[in-house]
Amino acid sequence: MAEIGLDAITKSYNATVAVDDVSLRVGDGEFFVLLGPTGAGKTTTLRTIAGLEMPERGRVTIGGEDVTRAAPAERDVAFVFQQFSLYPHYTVYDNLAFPLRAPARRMAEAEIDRRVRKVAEQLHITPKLGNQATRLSGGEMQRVSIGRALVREPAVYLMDEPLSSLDAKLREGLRVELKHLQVDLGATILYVTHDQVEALTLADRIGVLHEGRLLQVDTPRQIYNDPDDAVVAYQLGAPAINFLPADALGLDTPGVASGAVRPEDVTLIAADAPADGSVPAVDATVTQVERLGPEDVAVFDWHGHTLRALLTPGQAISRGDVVALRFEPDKIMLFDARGRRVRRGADRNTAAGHGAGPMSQRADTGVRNAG
Amino acid sequence: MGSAQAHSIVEPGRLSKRVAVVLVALYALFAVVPMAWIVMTSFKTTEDAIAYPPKVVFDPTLEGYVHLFTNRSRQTEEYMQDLPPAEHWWQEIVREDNMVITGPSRFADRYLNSLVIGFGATFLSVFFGALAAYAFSRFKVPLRDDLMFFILSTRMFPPVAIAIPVFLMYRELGLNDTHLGMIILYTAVNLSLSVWILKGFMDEIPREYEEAAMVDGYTRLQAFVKVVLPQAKAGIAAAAIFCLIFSWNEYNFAILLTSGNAQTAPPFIPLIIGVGGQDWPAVGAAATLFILPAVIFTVLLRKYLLAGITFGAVRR
Ligand SMILES: Nc1ncnc2c1ncn2[C@@H]1O[C@H](COP(=O)(O)OP(=O)(O)OP(=O)(O)O)[C@@H](O)[C@H]1O
Ligand SMILES: [Mg+2]
Repeated sequence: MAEIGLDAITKSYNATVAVDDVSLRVGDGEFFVLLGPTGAGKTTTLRTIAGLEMPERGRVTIGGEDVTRAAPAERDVAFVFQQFSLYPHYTVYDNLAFPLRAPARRMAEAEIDRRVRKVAEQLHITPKLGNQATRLSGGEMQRVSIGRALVREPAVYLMDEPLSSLDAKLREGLRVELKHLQVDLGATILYVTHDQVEALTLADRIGVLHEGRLLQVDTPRQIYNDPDDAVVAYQLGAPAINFLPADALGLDTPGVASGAVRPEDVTLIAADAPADGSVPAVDATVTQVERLGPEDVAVFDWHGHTLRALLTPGQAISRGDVVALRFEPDKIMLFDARGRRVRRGADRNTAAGHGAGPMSQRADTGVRNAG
Repeated sequence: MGSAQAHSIVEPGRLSKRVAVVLVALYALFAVVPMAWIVMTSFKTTEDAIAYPPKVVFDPTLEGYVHLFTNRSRQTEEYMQDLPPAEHWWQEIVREDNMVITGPSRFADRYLNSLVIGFGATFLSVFFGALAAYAFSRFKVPLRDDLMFFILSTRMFPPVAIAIPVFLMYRELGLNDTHLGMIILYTAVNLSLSVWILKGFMDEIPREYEEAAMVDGYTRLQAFVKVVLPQAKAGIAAAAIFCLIFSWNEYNFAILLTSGNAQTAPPFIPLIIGVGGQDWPAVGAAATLFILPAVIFTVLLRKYLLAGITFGAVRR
């Protein structure tokens, strides 16, 4: 296993800047998740590390060695592609053995057989080893794709949305298995997804990528609780965070354009409960109640703004009700007109001392206004 | 959605199936009769071949084939009676017509030339075509579209239009009437077709296949051989069939550029008609043997063609 380093990588296709000045360090044995919406440049970043794309600027290192100009075969990475890339003309067994049979590897057939069977066992596809690769369900194909990376024991694993085309149940199962495997192997994994649940559950650290730029790198907890950027705040959490214009919230701090509050930080109080004065409360109309099972989500309309709140079990409200909503002032995150976080003096403590990503540096030197 | 799709579009109805079967059978008959007639003629005697009304039932004989492969001379009855008994069945056949075999004809040579030149040119066309098509499909080739058009344009004028320059050039280079010369020429003509067919197929093969192989430790060439070529099987089969049919049938260049040494079967077959009256069974035999390799080749490659047609339905 080894660490991955990206130094100021830029890659564009014609007019599109797919990856824009991205610097990143994935530690040895770390499970790092790159999270971003479609078109953010996630695949391009992985392809650059694998050597399938040549960056215009910047440096790629694997295990401390500069591999920016090295051929893909020389980099000792395993890549799980976003689309299935099983060879239809081979059986599952031969697909799994394919990486090991590379002429440069000169591995004995007995050793190949041992590894293929071990990985098939780990991924529960042993009964399918004799199948033609096209005669598999989507979930089995995805397992074989992952298996083809696992047989290798490479320096690093690159996984491009490996679970994306599965149904929710299977995805959950494979997610748990994958995390187990990573811990067992002590593997360095750079994993790409647009699914925030995958990111939060799998990652040691998350990097949020948006329009080619890396906005923030942090632990799942930090990045959720203390986002540096409105986009980051919006990417994480379901239901999504509520954004409101500053004036609607009665915020008059200079430089603050909007405030955001997570649905779980919105408290419902009965409409006729006496306001205690310390906390602002607003009247909002319930437009919809989404029953998710353990927790229900209520959607409100408040002067034309849409708000979401988590309901505690047993809170009986229905469409058309008018209720009072309360936001704790210190739970409201402030952002400037460009979407950057504006921190109050007291927020400094929580912002300090986490990850060494470039974004945390920016946050430290960024705009800060006393609230 | 609409009522137009009320019945399955995958499974045709029984009536339309029957109509289709009848139509196909009629067409097959229409297409097969001339071929069958040629094959039948090759097994007739000269008299049966020109009998009127045409004979459908006849005593088959190998006379046509014997004539095709031999040179014969007619002798007097007395000469024939003095001959020792025939050693081989083919001697027997010609003696019935008061003839003796004077030696093998040149047909076997010509046929062999056709095989060497036809399959040689086909192999080279597909080999170079696959490499060029892969490069055009995967790499940033400067002026790619113009180059592709240029390659196609070499096919646009009739080959005879360049016959004289090619003839003069070949004379200078000593390639006239050589196997190598004919293979090079047919490869050059076929290459455009082969590049275009194969590029279409290679464009359909996801890059991820080779990229996965390259990340897994294969060089690009190894990935090409291990992954791309097997995926392009259908295209290779299609290109090979077209190339073989062209070089197998080619007549104009063959008659212009070859004579003694590298002559192929097409310019030779018409010569048979003139030898000793109109020997239709021999012509039929030549035509039958000539059709055979192309038919066998196409039938052998057919399963890859069909595999290619279903390729798009495979989830990837
Ligand atoms: N081969 C290419 N040619 C031109 N533009 C490309 C190419 N590959 C990617 N792009 C562009 O680069 C940007 C980033 O693409 P990329 O595939 O890295 O996104 P992604 O984050 O992986 O998205 P998704 O989640 O949809 O897979 C997009 O705007 C895309 O249109
Ligand atoms: Mg992608």
